[in-house]
Amino acid sequence: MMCNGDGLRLKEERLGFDLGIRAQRPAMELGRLTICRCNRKSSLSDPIPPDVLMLVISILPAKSVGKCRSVSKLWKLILGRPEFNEMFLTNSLNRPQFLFAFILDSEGEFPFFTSPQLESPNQDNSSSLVATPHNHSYVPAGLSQISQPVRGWVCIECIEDERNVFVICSPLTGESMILPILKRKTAEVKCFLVYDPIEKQFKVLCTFWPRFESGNITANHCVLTLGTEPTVWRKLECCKPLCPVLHCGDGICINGFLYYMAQLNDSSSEVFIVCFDIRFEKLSYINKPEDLWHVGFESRLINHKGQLGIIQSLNSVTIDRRTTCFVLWVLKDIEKHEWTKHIYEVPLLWWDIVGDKSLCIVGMTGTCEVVLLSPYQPDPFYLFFYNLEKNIVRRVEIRGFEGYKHSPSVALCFLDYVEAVNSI
Amino acid sequence: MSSNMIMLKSSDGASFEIEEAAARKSKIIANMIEVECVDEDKAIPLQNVTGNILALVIEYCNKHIVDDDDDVATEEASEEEEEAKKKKVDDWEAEFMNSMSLETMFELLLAANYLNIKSLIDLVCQTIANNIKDKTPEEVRKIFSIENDFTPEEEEEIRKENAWAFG
Repeated sequence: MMCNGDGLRLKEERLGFDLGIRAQRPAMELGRLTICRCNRKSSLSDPIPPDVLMLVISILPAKSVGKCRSVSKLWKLILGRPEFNEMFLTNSLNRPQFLFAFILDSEGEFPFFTSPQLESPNQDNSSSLVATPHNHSYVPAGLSQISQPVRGWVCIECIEDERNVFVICSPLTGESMILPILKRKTAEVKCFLVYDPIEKQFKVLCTFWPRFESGNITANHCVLTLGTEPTVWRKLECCKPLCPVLHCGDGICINGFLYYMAQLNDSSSEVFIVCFDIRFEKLSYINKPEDLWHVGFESRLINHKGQLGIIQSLNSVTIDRRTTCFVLWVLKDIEKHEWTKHIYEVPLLWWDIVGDKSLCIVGMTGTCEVVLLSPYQPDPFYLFFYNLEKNIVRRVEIRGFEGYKHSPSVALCFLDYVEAVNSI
Repeated sequence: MSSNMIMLKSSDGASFEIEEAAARKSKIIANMIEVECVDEDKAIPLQNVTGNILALVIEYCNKHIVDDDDDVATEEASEEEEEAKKKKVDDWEAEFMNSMSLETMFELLLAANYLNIKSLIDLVCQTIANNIKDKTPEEVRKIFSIENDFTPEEEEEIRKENAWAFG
């Protein structure tokens, strides 16, 4: 079916695939790709074999993919296939990226920005990157209401017709869908966008609870699967009625599990880590490290070389130039709730590089660099990188926010964003 | 190092002699050598690769087998030497790709894909991708001699769908 469109007309005699001969040699291993599907139909024109075309286009930036889809019917078909999307997510040379969002005081405009996420640290302390804007009409309802991006998609809590609704959207393409309204009587709500890599499905975990009262809080949990009909919320049984700690960032997904910090009551010391099995939709919890004394803006769940970790500044609820040490706990045994603790003393340069900024942790890159930003002082806009293993701190200026950073705003940043070129 | 020679025969009947070490750049040929289905007196027939393309593949393999040997010989080479060597290879690859038409590139990609030579696949993909990057659909059609088979209505629709890519 892939042969019926127009494509590149290569000289037939030079391309000369002989399917008959290939078929007689079934033992020949062709490696990762197959190239026999292309010209079953012996026509005058030989289109580029779909697999080879997908391979070439998959390394391009998303915008080039969008343009290539407008080339011909065949290209549109090939570049819309789920296999192409998978190739793009792993091959594109434009990944990973930082995704930035600003929560503005004024309503109406809510821009997303992306910039390359450089994995190899530049020793030069004053390097800079330029961010590209992507404009959207959604206005998030609050600070913590943009979820960690998953395969190019985010979940945002928005206000529409004076009601809070959850919208799944792609910052790049602007494509979006509004989730069914969740019937609830409680005031507080938090949604997490997750992806099940086995069943290849996006899901949304939603938890809601009453505003803080004295005593323990009762939180409820619901889940829905995107791309299924009908899209309905299913109630989950909960092990412990824990509600998320909103001010220490979003959850983190590692190997098919979502983890987030949660608490049983309004005491910030009674903290647990909720563990959500995305595929089987089971909730459980992990005890925090015994000597983790508090969680807040200075704490963050991170992916440390594929394992769950917690990073926070030592003995301080703020991160600024006076910070001397960071503590990293890594979950060693999920059954026994065992954590290992490491302390990292920041280098002398920390004081000068941080300056007068007040920082919060964004996350950890694949090269073990803690990424921090100053959410309330976005001018000039810096990202700070602290490499735990090499004990190097550096600062990168992100430019391109002119026109936004002057209005009162809060900056958010997410790591490892990849561009999405397919619908959910 | 043993310099066993292997014969390869293209689809149009041209024969090429190549060092085994160079031929092993192709996973397919390496597998054939492993399972001993290579007869020393007979050429390996490659029905999917024409002579002119096979000559390019062999040129690439020969160049890279030499480089790999160098790597082993000078394990303690300094960082600068490593960089200089890498630059030399990059320059050679740029020159190599620069000398061919887009049509030849696709044929070379198909051959590299068929013979399963990962580094050559990556090189050719990147070069072709550079030709397409940031081009409008009209320019891409022109490069690839593709006819626009959308009706004006369909084209408007798909432009709307992909409006984000044109911003």
